[in-house]
Formats: sequence, structure tokens, C-alpha cells
Amino acid sequence: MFEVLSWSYRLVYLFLAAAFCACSYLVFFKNKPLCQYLLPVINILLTGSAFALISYYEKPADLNAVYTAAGFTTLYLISRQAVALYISSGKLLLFDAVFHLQAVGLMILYRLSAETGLKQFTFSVLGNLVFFIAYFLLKRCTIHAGHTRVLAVSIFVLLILTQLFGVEIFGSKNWINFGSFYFQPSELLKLAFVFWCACMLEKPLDARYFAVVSLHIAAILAFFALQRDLGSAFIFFTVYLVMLFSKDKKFVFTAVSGCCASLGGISSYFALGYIRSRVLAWVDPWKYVSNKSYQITQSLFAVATGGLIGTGLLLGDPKYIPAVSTDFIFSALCEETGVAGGILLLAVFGLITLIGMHICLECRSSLYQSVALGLTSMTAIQTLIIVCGVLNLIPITGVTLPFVSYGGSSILSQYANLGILYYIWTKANWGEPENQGDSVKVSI
Amino acid sequence: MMKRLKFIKYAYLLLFGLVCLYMLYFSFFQARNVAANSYNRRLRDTDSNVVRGSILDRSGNILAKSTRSKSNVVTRKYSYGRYFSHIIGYSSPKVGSSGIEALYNKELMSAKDAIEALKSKVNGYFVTGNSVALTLDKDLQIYAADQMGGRRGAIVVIKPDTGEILAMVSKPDFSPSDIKNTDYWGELIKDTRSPLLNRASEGLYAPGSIFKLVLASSLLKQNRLEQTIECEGKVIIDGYEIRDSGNQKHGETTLAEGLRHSCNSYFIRQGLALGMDSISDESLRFRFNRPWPSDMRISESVFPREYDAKSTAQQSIGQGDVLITPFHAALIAASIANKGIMMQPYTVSSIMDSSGKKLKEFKPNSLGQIMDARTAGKLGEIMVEVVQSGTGTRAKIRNTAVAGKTGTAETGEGKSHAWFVGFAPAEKPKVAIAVLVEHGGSGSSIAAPVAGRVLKKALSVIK
Repeated sequence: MFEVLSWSYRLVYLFLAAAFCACSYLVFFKNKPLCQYLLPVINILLTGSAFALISYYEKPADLNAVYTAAGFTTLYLISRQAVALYISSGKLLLFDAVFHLQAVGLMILYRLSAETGLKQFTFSVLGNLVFFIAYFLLKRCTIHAGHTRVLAVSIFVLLILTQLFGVEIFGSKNWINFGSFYFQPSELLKLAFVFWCACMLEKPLDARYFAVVSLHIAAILAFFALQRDLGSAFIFFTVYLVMLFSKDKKFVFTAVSGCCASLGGISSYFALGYIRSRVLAWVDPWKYVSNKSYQITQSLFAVATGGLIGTGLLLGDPKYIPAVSTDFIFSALCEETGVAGGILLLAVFGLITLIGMHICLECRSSLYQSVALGLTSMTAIQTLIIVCGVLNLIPITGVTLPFVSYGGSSILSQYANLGILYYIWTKANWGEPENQGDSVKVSI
Repeated sequence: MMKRLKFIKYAYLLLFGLVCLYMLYFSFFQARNVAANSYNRRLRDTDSNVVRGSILDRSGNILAKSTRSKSNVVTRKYSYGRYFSHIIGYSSPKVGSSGIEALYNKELMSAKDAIEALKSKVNGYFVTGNSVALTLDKDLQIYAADQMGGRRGAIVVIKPDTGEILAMVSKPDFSPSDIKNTDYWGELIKDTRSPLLNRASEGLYAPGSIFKLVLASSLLKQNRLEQTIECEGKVIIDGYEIRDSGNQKHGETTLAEGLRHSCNSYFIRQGLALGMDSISDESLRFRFNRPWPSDMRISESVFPREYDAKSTAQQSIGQGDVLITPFHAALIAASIANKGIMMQPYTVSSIMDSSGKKLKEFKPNSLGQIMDARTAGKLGEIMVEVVQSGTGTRAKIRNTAVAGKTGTAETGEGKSHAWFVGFAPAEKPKVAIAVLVEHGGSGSSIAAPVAGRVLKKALSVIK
């Protein structure tokens, strides 16, 4: 009986996800007020129906699933109301989109294991607090180019701390242990890094200054290489490159950085064994199906088995994929809601990127514009890297799917990211650029 | 700088869009083959209320069928055991599945319509999955396999005008019903003769003289039919000597005579005259180094990309680093028979529901023209001479003209691989064949007689 329900539910899920995408794009491009009101309704319906189905799977029905859904919905409504009251009532679209991702992620996580689902819900609650803290903290202080040194020092202190006290989990030494829980400093670093890059790039670029910036970047990447954190190295560098590209008038510096990084990548292939094995596993996954490529082939099996509309919730076998709740959650989603479910989720990520770039384009302070670009790129690039990774379009690197994957550090950092974006979006009166005389005024 | 930001925005959107398109592409064109991999543990799931569908041959004979006992234990019976081991493959909860059982797992395990499947789930009764009908002929497959005796190798029989595979034998084989037996499985895996490998479609072998057909096609296209070469029984390239079989001196040799006697000197000299680029282009046209669009797993044949005079000489006669699957060899013969048009090979003709109603039918599909009809016709004529009065005389069939080419590929260790490719009847081809006997000896004495017998049988069973 459950199978029949789950089979039918596939269509309900796809309908709701598609409706959410359609409405959110309509709100963004056409500003339709009706759709604006529909978004939270769809999100709540989606959460409610999915968790009702999941609870029905167990006999007797798993009431915890229902409570989780209720708790999540309450959190959503309270946070949404708070955003409307204290931040802006006309800028809820981004928040709705993020909660859509969270709802889908929570659904898959709870389906994989009730325990991770409950923990993820706790992280969501904390994340929402962090969101408001980040927003109001930024409102009280102003960041300017003079903060470069402080930011640089804090970045390197964090990196050195990780190097000294780091614990190795899943082959990467990028975790710090605080008693009973583990924390990933690279998640916090992401925010500091974006601010630091923005501050550094405020000064007009010349060859000497570019060399200084590049040296810093190289040092940061070297730390990641030492910690075997390939994913972070890749994301940080790409975000830097995008930010550099937006400031680099003649495109020379971006080209030079890109070439150097390519050379570095190629030489690391020969120098570092763990990079080589990742690349080999990517080039010919079927040759190493039982060892090196085990993860990626299991992920491809899941996507292939799902087909267009999926096997139905709880009817697939995503647990065959290693690290399914973190890095490979997208494959699990594709298995049970199909490639269609995956594409609809990517459409929401696309919308979040669009809104981020919209915030960036609207911003009138050069520094904050850079920050907005960096934060948006962080989310977009991270999404692309992990989605392409699980589809074997690029070698797999262990990063999380923003707002969907399980992980406290990741969720908190994403919410902080969101809080900062909201601050930049709502600060209407930028006035004169708050600078020390060395920032470039942007005219619109 | 606003321009740059807008550029970044559209770049992100484009990337997201491309990933979505790739996902659709993956799900429509690659998913079936990926999911059929025997490492996919999902194929091993047994708790289901579907009785696995049957697999039939081209005339409706049942090759594999599942039955359910009163205690709801489903057993799968392979009516012709080892004879279809590599094509049908196996399906076992313990070790996974292969062949048609893996590739069409979804069809075999799903009932005719969704409503029926839903009802059966709700009410808990069993339904029978869809059947898969193959293009193979049961009698021909059994006959061909028996002709191989205890020898290792492969036979592929194809219908030239459609690309339907009529028989595909790979030896040694295995017993699909005993796969569930752990000891048997362990033996199979350890066996150094690799019985699980489908030699017909995945085994790569030096083609030897059958590769001369590729050169001959190139020469015919350049109107070098009448050009003669003086054969002295051997050629020396950069101090490396290649001899003709039996050190025979063929004297003044034309293309027809060169093929008939499989003259190495003629083809080496012509190969060097054509140049490696030209041979490489021709082999690419013959689909070397290219993946196969097919419902089966087929290895790509290999034509080396780097070369010097010595390797050009070797490759002109199918030695050196050039490798081909028996399957591809049969397809080349089929294309010559089919006026130069290569048809897409396929093994599944239709999917039917348990009552026999056709749900899906697979139609022949062309892979393109590898040579013009005139070249194909001329090449066919010469191949008839090969069987009439050349190296392939032992493939003759009474009252029917057979076209063919033998091959004897040196392997560096042990006896040579024996090859024969051809088709019959020459004037109106109905079947094409490739025979490979691993380390069997010479193509004319080992492979040709097998090919002759199998062609005769094929002509009697195919209308």
C-alpha cells in the first residue's frame, strides 16, 4: 500500500516543486503579487505532504516525522514574519527560495535517517538565529578597506589553527573538535575570505599590488592542499577569480591567475597522489568501479535508476551511496524524485543566484557590491561543483550542497551568508562610499 | 564594470542550464547502460511481486522464463543453458546480473501497465513482467556454438540489410543457472580463460589479413584495381623483414590476386604508397576508434594513432597494434554485402507484455555508408574469388556462392588466431559472418570450414 502512495506522490512532489519554481520566477521577473502569497503555501504543502508520507512508512506511523514537519513549518513562518517586520516586507522571495531548499533537504535527510533529519532541523533553528545576528551585526558596523589586515590575520590564524588542531574526517584534515561536536573552520573562512577579497580589490590593481594579492591567495591554497581539502581550494580560488574578473579592467590579471592555477593544478596532479586518484576515478569510472570510483559510480547508479520521475520516496536505495547525506545528497534526490526533481531544485538554485546578482547590481557601494558578488558566487559555484561532481562531469570534491546537505557548519555559514546579502539588499541609502579615499566610486 | 557583472550573471545561468540539459541527456541516453552495470546493487533486489518476464528468440521460442512455486519462490530457468550465456547473461540476487538480463532489467521487472502494477501492489498478488524478444535464432545459435567444439573464440552472424544479430557465440561459456552457486561463481571468476568475457563483442584481437579489406576498399576508391605490384615473397622495411605465408613469391600481383592469395607484399607496398593518414582515415570510416551506438556492450576497435614506416607496413596487413572485435569484423562483411551501408547492430527486436502484445518495436537503423555501392560490389566479387579459388576454398557451400576473406593473425605467443569473414549468397546476401578461433592456426584451414557450415545452416533457417 505504501508503494502505491509513494508512486502517486512522485507526481504530487513534482507538481509542487514545479509550481514553486514557476511562481518564484514569476515573482522575480513579473512581480506577480498572487504568486508571492502562493510561495509559502507551496512550501508548507510540500513539507507537510512529504513528511506525512515518510511517517506513514513506519508501522505504527512515525509521529516524530510529523512533529519535525510541524516544527519546521513554525520556524519558517516565524522567521518569515520576522524578516517581513524587521528587514523588509517586499524582499521575501530569497527567503522563500532558501526555505524551499531546506524543506527538500530535510525531506531527503529525514528519509535517510530520522536522527540526521532531527539534527538538521536543530541546525536550521540555529541557522535562522545566525541569519538575524549577521544581519543586525552588519547594520551596526561598517566594513571598509582599512579592515584588510584584520581580515587577513584572522584568515591565517584560522588556517593555522586547523593545521595544528585539525582532525581528519573523510580523508580531509579540515575539522576542529569541540568536545562533542565537530566544526569545519573552512565554512567560517568562506565569509572572511569574501570580505578580505573585496577589501583587497578595492585598491586599483597594478602589477606589484596584484603580485601581493596573488601571494596571499597562493598561501591560502597551499594550506588547503596540506589539509587535503580539494573542494575548498577549488571554491575559494574560483570565487576569487570571479571577483578579480569584475574589477580587472584589462582582463590581464584574471588571465594570468587562471593560467597559473591551471599550471598548479596540473603539477599537483603529478605531485599529489590523492589528486591523481580523484582524476583517474573521474576519467574512467568504470575501470575502477570497485575501488577508486566506488563513490562516483554508486552515485551514477542512483541517478540512472531514478530515471525521469524517480522511484518514489523511500522506494529507492540511496543508502548504497557513501556520504549520501552530505556530498551526495543530490544523487539521492535524483534517485527518488527523478532527474526532474533534480532539475527543479537546480532551477531554485538558479533563482537564488539571479537574486544574488540582482542585489549585487543594485548595490551602490563598490566594496559591498564586491561582497555581494563574492557571496553569491560562493553559493553558485559550490552548487555547480558538487552537482557536476556527483554527475561525474568534473572530478568529485567533497563539498556540501548549500542549504540541502547535512552539516552544522555548512548550514550556519550559509545562513550568515544570506544575512549579509539581505543587509546589502535592504540598505537603501548608501550615501557616499565609506572609504579611506582609495576606493573607486561606482556610478550607475 | 556593470557589464562584467551582467556577464557573470548570465555565465552562471548558462552553467545551471547546461547541467540541467546534461541531466536530461544522461537520463535518456546513458542511464540504461549505467544502471545495467553488475556493480549496481539495486539490480539484485528480490522482494517484489513481479515474476520476471521471459526472453524469447526471433521465432518465439522461450530462452529464459521465471516460474513461481506455490510457496511464492520464483525460479528462473534458462532453457538452452550455456548456449546463450553471454547474450542473455544471468540474474542473481547474490552476484548481480549481466547481458540482456541487466540491460532490460527494468522492462523484465515491470508489468504491462501502471494500473495493473498498482492493483497488484495493493492486493498483493503476483504479476508477470514484460517479455523481451531477441533477433537471435535458437537453432542457429546452438548449431554455431557446437561447431566451435572445445576451441576458444567467437562467431557472429548478422543480417546485412537490417543489422539484426542472428547468432553470437563466445567460447568458453558458462552455465547461467548455476551462477547462484557460490563455488561455481568463484571458479568462474578465478578461471584464467575468462569464461565471463563476451569475446564476440568485447574481445579485441589482431585482425590479420581480414584488415586487408579496409585497404582494398581504399585502393578501389582510388581506382587502383588494375595496378600491379611485384611480389618477391618478402618485404624489408627499415631492416625488419615481413614474409609472405609459406615464403611464396606471387610475382606480378593485382588487387584481386593480392586478396585471393592474401599476399602480404602487395598490401605492404600498397599500404606504404597510400600512406598512414589515408589508411587511418579509411579505418575511421570503417568505425575503428569509435564507440558503438547499440543496445549491447561492445568494445571500440583500435587503430593506432602514432606510426612510422615499420608500423605502417605491419598495420597494412592487420598486425602491429591494430585490434578488432569479432563483432566489428562481422559488421564489416555485412556492410560489403549491404552495398557499403553499415546497419546499426541490435539484439532486441521488441518488448511485449505477458500476453504477447507488442509494446515497443525496434527498427533497423543505418550507421552510414562506409564505401560506395560500386566499391562494395567490386570487393564482393573479389571475395567470391577468394572462396572459389583462393585461401577461403574450405568455406564453399554447394549451389551457393560464398564471398569471404581469411585471416591468420600472429600473436607472438603460441599459434596464430584464425579468422574468416564473409557473406552468402554472394549475389543476394542474406547473412554475414565472422569466425574467430583463438590460437587456432591458419584462417583457411581452421576458421573457413566452420564459417562454411554455419553459413549453410544460417541460410536454411533464415527466410
